[in-house]
Amino acid sequence: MRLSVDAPTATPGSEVKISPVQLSFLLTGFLFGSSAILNPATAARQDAWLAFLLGWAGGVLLIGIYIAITRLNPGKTLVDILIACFGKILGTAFSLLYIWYFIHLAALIIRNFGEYMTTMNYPKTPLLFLAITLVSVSAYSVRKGLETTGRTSEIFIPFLPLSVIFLFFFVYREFNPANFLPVLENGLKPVVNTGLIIVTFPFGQSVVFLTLFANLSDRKKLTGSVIVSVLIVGIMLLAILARDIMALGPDILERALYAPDITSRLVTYLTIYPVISVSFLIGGGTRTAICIYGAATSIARIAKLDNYVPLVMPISALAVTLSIWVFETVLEMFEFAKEAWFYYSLPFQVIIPVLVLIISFIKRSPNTQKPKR
Amino acid sequence: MALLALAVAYGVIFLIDLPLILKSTNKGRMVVVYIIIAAAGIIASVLQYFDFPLNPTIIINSIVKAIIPGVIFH
Repeated sequence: MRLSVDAPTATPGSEVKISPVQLSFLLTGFLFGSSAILNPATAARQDAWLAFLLGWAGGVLLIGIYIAITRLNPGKTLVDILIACFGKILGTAFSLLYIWYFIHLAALIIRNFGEYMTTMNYPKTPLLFLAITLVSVSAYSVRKGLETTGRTSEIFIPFLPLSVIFLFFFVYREFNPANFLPVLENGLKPVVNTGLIIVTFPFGQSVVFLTLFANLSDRKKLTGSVIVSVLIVGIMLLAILARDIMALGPDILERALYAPDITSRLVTYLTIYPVISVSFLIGGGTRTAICIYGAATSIARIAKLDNYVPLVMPISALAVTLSIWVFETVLEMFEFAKEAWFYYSLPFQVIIPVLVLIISFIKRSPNTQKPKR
Repeated sequence: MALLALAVAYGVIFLIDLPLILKSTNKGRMVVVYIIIAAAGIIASVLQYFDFPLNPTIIINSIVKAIIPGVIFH
């Protein structure tokens, strides 16, 4: 397949193109992924919906920055952009940090998935086995190419909004709208703090898409595809939060490890909780695949390799090992997500991208403004 | 036994990837990068197996605490 004309050089994997629809599905699966089960907004109790709205708005702004970076650097992947902005040494150093971040993110997703499955569905199955199972599927998909991952998402991701609608209507008998009250009982501070965490989880994590925005077949549709995804995911997560607040109340919502699972178990006349597990499996698999793809293509780019595929398996194995090593217990995992994640993610999701955006604006030259056709 | 299983697992992964590595135009560089990633995985596995007290989470928490003193980790 022919490379795009304004691609700086042949980036490993850049010859593979995904359609705007596939990008939309991938981003929807990625953002929905773990958030369907672990939504940090629950810390704001009955004001979780307000905190989420705030985080959603911040997330749209942040993703807008990533789109602007891609538009100012057409055809370039994250590594190319970092090297173009910061020079070879600093750009490579930042790229290596991002590679670590993507592998670490994959490990955290795998651990989330494993902990959920062992806690709720398979209590006697070793965590390592579940981790290897998820990663095997994701790694296989990445090895087959981004197009395969995109096509897979076209089949599975539509299940996610359907599952949200399905569960919403099955649980409605348990709803108590009074659970939303009193509004802002503890003031604005917890709402704002939780909103900021939501900006970094899940929205800011889409920084990994800077490694695959260059693969979009029709660049003019980048903004549209991304906006559609962010809107759909925002509505879905808001619906999940509203459902859990109304069904469980703020006390259980704040204490529950996996609130959506508890909500689904309120339906006594039908076993619907596996729907939550299936959603998590689809979203978690998409997230893991994209993180592994981001890490593999970035390493291949830095090392000037012509193919990223052989790197997928060792990266996946490293992510599995890290997923077991990073946390002793599930509570430690939640503590990290609540306390450290925001500060840890800030440089990767906000500080470096904002610097890149500013430098890209300054360095903008006529030949990068208007790609040759 | 666990370490033997780990070595076998990485051996199998390498055998799966070997045809692709051999097809690569820059085999030498590919092998070096591959070995670095695999070594990182093996070292992480060994450290985890022997319950090495420092893991990435502890390091990240310490860095965050050092930079932002107000943050409290339980």
